[in-house]
Amino acid sequence: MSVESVETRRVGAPAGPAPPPERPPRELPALELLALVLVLAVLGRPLLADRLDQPALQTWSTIFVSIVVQALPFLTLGVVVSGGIAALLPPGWLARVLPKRTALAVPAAGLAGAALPGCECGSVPIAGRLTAGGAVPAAAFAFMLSAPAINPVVLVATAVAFPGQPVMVLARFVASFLTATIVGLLWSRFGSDAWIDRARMRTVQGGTRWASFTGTARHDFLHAGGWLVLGALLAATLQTAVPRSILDAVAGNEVLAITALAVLAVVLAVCSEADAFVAASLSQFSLTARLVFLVVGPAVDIKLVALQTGTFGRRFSSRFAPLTLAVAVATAVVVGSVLL
Amino acid sequence: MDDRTQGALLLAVGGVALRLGLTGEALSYVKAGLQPLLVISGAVLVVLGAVAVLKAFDGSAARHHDHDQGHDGDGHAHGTRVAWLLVLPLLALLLVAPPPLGQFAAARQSSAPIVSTRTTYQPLPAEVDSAVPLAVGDFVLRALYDEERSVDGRPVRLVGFVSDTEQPGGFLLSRFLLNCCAADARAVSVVALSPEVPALDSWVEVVGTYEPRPGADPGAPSAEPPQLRVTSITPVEQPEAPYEY
Repeated sequence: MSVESVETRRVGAPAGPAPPPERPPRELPALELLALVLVLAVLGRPLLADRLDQPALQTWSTIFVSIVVQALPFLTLGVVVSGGIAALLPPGWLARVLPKRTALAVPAAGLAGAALPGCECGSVPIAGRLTAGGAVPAAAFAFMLSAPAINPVVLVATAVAFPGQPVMVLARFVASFLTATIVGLLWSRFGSDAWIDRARMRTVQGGTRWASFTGTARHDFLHAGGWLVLGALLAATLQTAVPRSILDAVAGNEVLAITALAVLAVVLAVCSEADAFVAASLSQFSLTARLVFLVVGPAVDIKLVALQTGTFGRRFSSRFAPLTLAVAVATAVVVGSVLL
Repeated sequence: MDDRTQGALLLAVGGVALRLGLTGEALSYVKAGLQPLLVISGAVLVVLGAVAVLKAFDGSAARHHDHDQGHDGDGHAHGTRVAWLLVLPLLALLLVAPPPLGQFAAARQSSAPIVSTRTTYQPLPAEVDSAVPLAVGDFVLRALYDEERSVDGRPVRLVGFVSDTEQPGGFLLSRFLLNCCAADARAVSVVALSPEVPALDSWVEVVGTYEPRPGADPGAPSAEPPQLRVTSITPVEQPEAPYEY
């Protein structure tokens, strides 16, 4: 309620007699636009409620909202860490902390990912901040890929979801760590920094550390949050449009099964702390196919690709996502055939 | 998007997160364990938003004095244009308040019960009004896999929604099992054997006794939900926590 009072109090006041001179002409004042959208939505509510009475739309909106709500705490954690990095750590600190050689820095950064308890939404802004702070991009990407997959929370969830099969936890750890390392090394060898849109990773230099922290965290939250919403829209649409029962048809053929679960991991965009339970429930599939699901999900899914596009630019994500998907599937299949 | 709007948007998102975390509303979308995290993140976002709004007030005062451009030029405004999308979940939550997953979502999943290798279970809870209150998921697991056959012959009380009214001999009573959020929900179902069939998607409390299928092999994964011979059906309100965990 306090939220609305803040908004309404401020709607009329700042407009003033003439538009402020520093604002570009013909651009709608954003806060007034926000207020307008809210007013229209309130007026149109009965109409909206009728439209949304259809079960398919209701299911869609429930899944959409729940992906966003579920990701919110982890995204907040991510931008707080990211703001802290910008405010507290001197530029270039990671370069000093990590080994000098990329061949060592990448796996080290991948292992460091194990220390961040959270799911994938938090790790993208952190990786963006690390890159902006002068880290080798390949090392930041290795961290970004490994953090959501091999942190203790996710590994414990995996152990709980697969009771009596501790090898699944080991396989997940190994395959995800290898994926992060291999993608990082491939990127450092063949990737180009020119594909990364650095303009998006603005550090807010506000003088004091507090101003820098709040400014960076706010910027990163709004930015990543917007892309997260886009990803959630897509994931909810695909979840509602494609009935899960079609999976049963392909479970028997191993190649089809692996393909299907890789695609499912991308499409479902389930949080990495929950994906082990989804994988456990897909019991018609082989363990290797389910390992593919667990390794692909935290590395590439629709909402992550949207987040990465927002953080690093489209030229980056159009190369990084296919590369990660290919490496993740291949690594999971190899690790699965050895360990499972 | 200028500083004022960014601040207002953060206040709004943070406020909604606080509301979700402090009331039961979040339970339609995520598991209960996420509620404290929502409160914390809501508080953080409110602080970030308040800082931005206060700064914008200071900044606009300064600008009126000397037309100071500040550091929030055009580039910044373009960089956060995507943040407008955050309005969508806000609108959805404030205006539409999407209901918890129900019959439509359940029908799109396979009705085959979850597979489990667990064969030992806690002792049954105490009977209330001569029936054991059980979660649907718990009942399904016990009925199919419990070595001790703890629910055999015991009257149980289950609460769920009607997900299918066309079952031979009765209807399908379902509940969603959640691991994190509604995106990973799995439906668990019981075939309620009953001449009386409530309306589709309505919430009911049923009392009944497990009726093994002919030739059922205890402990083996079953392709069909367990059956419950129902003795009484009571319409109930949708529970505040609509999912099981």
